[in-house]
Amino acid sequence: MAMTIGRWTRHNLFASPSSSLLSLVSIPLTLYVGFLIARWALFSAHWAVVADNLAVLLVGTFPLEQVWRAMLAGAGLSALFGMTIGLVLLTQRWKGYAIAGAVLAVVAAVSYATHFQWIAGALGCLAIAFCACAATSRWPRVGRGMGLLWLLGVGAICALLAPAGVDRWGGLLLSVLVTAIATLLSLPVGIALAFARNSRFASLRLASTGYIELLRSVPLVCTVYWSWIIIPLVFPPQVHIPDLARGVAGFVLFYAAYAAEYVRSGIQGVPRGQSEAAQSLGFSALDESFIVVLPQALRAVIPALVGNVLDLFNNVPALFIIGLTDFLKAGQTVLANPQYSGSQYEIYVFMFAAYLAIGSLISYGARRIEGKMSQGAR
Amino acid sequence: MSQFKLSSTESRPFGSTPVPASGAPLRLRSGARARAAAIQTLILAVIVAAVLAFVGLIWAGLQRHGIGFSLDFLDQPAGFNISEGLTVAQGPHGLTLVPFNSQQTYAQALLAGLYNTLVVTLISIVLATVLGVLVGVGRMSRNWVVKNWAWAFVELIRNTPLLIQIIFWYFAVLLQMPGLADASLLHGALIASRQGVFFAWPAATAAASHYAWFVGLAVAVSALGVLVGTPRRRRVAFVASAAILALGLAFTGWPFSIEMPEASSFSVSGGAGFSPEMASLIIALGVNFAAYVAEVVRGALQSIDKGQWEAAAALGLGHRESLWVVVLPQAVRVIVPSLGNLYVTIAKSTSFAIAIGFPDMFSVYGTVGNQTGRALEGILIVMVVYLLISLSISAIVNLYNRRVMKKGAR
Repeated sequence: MAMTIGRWTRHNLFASPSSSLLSLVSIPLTLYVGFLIARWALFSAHWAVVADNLAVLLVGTFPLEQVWRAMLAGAGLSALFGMTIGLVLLTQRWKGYAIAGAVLAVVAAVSYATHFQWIAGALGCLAIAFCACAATSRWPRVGRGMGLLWLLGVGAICALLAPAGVDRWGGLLLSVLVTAIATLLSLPVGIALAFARNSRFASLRLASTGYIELLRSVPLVCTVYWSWIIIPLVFPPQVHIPDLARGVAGFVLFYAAYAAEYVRSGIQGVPRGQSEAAQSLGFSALDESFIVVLPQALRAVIPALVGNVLDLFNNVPALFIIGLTDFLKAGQTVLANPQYSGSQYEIYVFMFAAYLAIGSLISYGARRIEGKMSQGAR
Repeated sequence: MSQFKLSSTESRPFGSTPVPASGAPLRLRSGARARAAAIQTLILAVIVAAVLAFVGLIWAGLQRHGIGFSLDFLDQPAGFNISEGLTVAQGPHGLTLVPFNSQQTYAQALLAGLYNTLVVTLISIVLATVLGVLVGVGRMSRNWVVKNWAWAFVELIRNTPLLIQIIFWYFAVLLQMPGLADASLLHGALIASRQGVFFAWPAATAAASHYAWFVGLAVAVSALGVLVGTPRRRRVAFVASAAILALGLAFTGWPFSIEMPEASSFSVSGGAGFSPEMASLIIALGVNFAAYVAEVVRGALQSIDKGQWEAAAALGLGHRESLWVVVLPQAVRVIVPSLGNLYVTIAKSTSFAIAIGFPDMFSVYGTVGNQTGRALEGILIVMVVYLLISLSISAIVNLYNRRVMKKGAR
């Protein structure tokens, strides 16, 4: 039953007098706002500001003579991200994704040839992400060791970037990298805390509960600053800990508490019969937890954990408190230059768009997983 | 088959206790209990040892840097100014709230920061709740344009960082507004300028001190009515106090008048207002958390059984009445706990104020820590205060939640 335009309009815009009034106000308003934004974006915005400062926005103050390291790191992160997205989507249209990736690669090559080095880098990373997405959609079995691959990949990327000086990492690259590192480190801590909070030993329960509730009651900025103060006091003076590690430790402590709560809700959702079955099969307590309960618990809370990753990514700008140049701070650095201070809307719109693109992709992934699971669990 | 043997009474897989053979199980039981107690003690000892070792390391580190640990700095004069905020000071009639000045102590500076944090938290919570309920209801609207506006708002806000939103509101909106002289809106009732946002606000008149007696009497009558009990008496008491208030008006005249903000070239007198920093922080937090409140409201509305809508329709209620009178009140029970979590997050998120130079508690702590070198002591104080704020918000919400649940369970 095809709905005609007339019927659709009547049903969705003019169903009742109040709805008609709302439509009469909101439709012209929408059109007018859209017109204003389009006119600004097409005719009065100076997008050259973004193109000129793409280097700072993407990698911050990274030493330019070693920029190949940053490019390779970006490529590696894009590949990991693309593979994960591919495993979530498992799209039938993987050929389309592969073609899109190839087209982007060609455009990247052309812009490299015409000396738009940073645009080429950004497009190249996108191309790699699309191809990786197509590959894992086509061959999902590659994804078996995705967790291990992330761990090794992020480790390798850190090792690759380290010679340039950890204090020089910055821009969007730093934001994504911190998200990956903090997620990978906070998840195991969170799992341990969750099991401790469900333990049969009251002392473990008490300690874990205290930790989780304390960390969930203080702001992230406080935790990051606290860990930044504490770490040099704890380590012997001859050991130099870079600012980044001192800050990321705070992120790990903070997000471990949140991950623990999600994992705990997952553990509580696993039917008691599962652990009883494991016990009657003679599993040790450790095997029971890690082979029987944990996989089922994690599977149930993946959407919530992905939401946690999005939250982490959105809160990485809190690193400004210890003076690191993440994506947002890089944008502010650009605007601090008097030459560009008149173009703040262009920079802010670009940053909003970049965050929105990555954030929407992550939350879309979370929704997809949730949808798929509710299908499976009849 | 030793692997099928039960290892201890603690991990017995079946709910019922097997019938013990006489003698032996008792010993087994006490043995298991002793072992559990030993493990408990061991765990406790390890945790305490770890914490002590950590504190010891920090102590040694402090000694190494020649700082030590002391709270003496709290009594010393601060010597810096805070752009806004009240602090507690000894007045002629006991403790009063006064504007902070640089002669006061570091402790009073932190209190002024705390005052700012609490003010921003409270106003943002109200703004986020009102806006969020509207947007959440908008997402359920049958009007296609409204529904998609609400959807776009929620997606845009939730998928971008709060900090960039705060910075955007401050640098790209508030600071781009016209100067005081050309910022008058709504016939002078609102001044939105880059020096701050000012608006008309009631101010006490000469009659206020007399009228206060009537207010006191009315409150006493209402309180008596509530204490005495029965709904009927309570209603009588409320009507009586309303009458007292009206009578008072007839005797004394209006206790307050609406005062317009008056802009001179550099400052504003009359009315009420916010500095640009406070205004952008409140707007950013209110708008940001409105999106989260909207999602909570939408989820709750969707969780209400479809039969409720149908029953309301069968009683002849329209869509809007069904929503506001039948469905939303039931959804409140689902909403309240999640809302409590959001309120705690709002209180914590005010700490981003330091990015735009608003003197909230964390930001004042930054200055105090820099001046005194007491960064560690300061952050411990700040963390404890945030902990207390979070716990009190949770406690209040839990109290309210219990009341809502009781009402629903009738």
